[in-house]
Amino acid sequence: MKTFYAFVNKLSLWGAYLSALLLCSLVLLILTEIFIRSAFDMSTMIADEYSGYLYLASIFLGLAYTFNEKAHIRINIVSSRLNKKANRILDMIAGLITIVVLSFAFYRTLLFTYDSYEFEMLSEAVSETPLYLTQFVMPLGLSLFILSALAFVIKGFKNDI
Amino acid sequence: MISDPLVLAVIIMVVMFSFLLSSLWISISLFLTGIVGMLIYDHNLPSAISIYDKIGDLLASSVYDSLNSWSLAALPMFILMGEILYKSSISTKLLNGLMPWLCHIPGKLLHVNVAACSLFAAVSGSSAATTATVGKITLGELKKRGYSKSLAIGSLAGSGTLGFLIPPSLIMIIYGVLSDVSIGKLFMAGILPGLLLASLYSFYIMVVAKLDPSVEPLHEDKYTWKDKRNSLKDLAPVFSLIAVVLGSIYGGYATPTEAAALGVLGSVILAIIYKSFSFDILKTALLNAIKTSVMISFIIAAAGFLSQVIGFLGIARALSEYITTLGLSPLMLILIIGLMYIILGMILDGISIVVMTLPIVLPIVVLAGYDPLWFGIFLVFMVEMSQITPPVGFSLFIIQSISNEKIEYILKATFPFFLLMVVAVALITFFPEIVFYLPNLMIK
Repeated sequence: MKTFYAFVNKLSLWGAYLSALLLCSLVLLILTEIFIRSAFDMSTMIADEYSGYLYLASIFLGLAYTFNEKAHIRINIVSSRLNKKANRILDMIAGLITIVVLSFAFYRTLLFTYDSYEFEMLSEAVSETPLYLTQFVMPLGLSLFILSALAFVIKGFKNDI
Repeated sequence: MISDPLVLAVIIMVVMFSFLLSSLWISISLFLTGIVGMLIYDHNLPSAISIYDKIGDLLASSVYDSLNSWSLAALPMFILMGEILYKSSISTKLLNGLMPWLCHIPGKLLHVNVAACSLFAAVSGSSAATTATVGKITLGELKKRGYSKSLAIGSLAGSGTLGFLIPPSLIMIIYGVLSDVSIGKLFMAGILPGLLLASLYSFYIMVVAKLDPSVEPLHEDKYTWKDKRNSLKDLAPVFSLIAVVLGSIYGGYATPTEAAALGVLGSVILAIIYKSFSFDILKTALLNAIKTSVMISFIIAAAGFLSQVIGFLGIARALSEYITTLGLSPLMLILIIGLMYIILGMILDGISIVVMTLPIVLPIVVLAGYDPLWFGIFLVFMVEMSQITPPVGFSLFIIQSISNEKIEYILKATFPFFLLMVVAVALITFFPEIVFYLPNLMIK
């Protein structure tokens, strides 16, 4: 199991690094746009469109890391009154529900991406970017998130015995 | 299977709060509530179409559409800017720069939280960042010099929330995207109410200091004009960053998203000047920014799906029609909505409240004759209150971890400042010009 935890951790960290890289590119893209607009009165033509894609991708790739770092918020006014064991059970149920919801979202976003690919959908902006390229990060990020949630549930289960 | 939208609304509300209170993650709770809402609705679908296909299509497209947004891209950049500034010594400089100017007013350095938070709020988009960055320096400093602990904590909690009201503001970006109000105008609309609130705080501190001289130490360091001139050097970086971020938006030169990128550049330059920049600091700042942005954005995505469901089921329309039949006066309506937000704010964080309630509340208040721009500012005040109301208040948690005081003590210290917030909300309700003055002056 240890290797599985380590694998999931590493995977989610890579996701976060990629996400950080995308965030940096987002800043640089917009700075470039501002610079060439003020210096040469020109535009990159893609800054508006691609900043949306970069933002979307950086969010989805960071999902698993954020989960591992316990940064997704939850309300604990009820659970803080329960004892340790009840909390662990509650955590595991919450984890399982999360896996079900995320798996549904994973499957549907995958179909969504596949449809765009099959029908060769292009963005309506000048770049005419194939949309599936901007959409596949959704199932990708969600699959990392599911693995992290799985590790979370298994950890809770192991401790209980 | 239920088809009456009002009954459906009540059930969805109950379902949502059961999920939220059972310590399920907020974003997952919202997704699940949306799915349950679709499943219990009486669709009358032809048997060829599966209900899961319908839900799945709605989910995938609403998540993609709500996050593939150029305006929301400002969010992670403003958060990154705050993280870089947090790591730099900017708050120490700010404090040193402000001190010589405050020693002549009653209450002296007790005003430092109000002044420093107002200034820092103008380069930071969130209340948590403002409270943490300013508080980590001022609380210890004020205690060392013998100022009233209770006033120091209360004024920090109150002024820290200015982070959302004084632009740039994460809440305003989210509100602007959801309500289709210009984010630039929202930013400008927040400035005067923010300064009004800060003045109320300062006025209160002066009154307390006059009535009870024991809140400040008898002897205080004297500052000369030379000190004041030197202090400008410490204040200059913050003022120039404010000028770049807000000036570019106000002058119509940059959009809020572009101003955010300029802000990141500015904060990196400041960090390099202060010699607090390295690869490790950048890496930590980036990862922290990712964590906060992902948490907020995934809630926005989930709420985007839930609001599509609410629209699809006809709940928003049915509720606004129902409220109209009650014949409430606009003032009564906003009072009820305000109370509802204060109660919600006790258990939920500000961003969740905004994204969850907006699809239902906005049509109702607009129908009652309120301007969406004004309501945005009203909502920011409600979010600020949620930051300092127990049992769930993010500013309270931050102050607790900085000061190591009991939460009861912090609550007692914060309460007067909460009341001043209520006063400020009343003022903008009766004098909406406070909100509209600057946006109307703005360069088109």
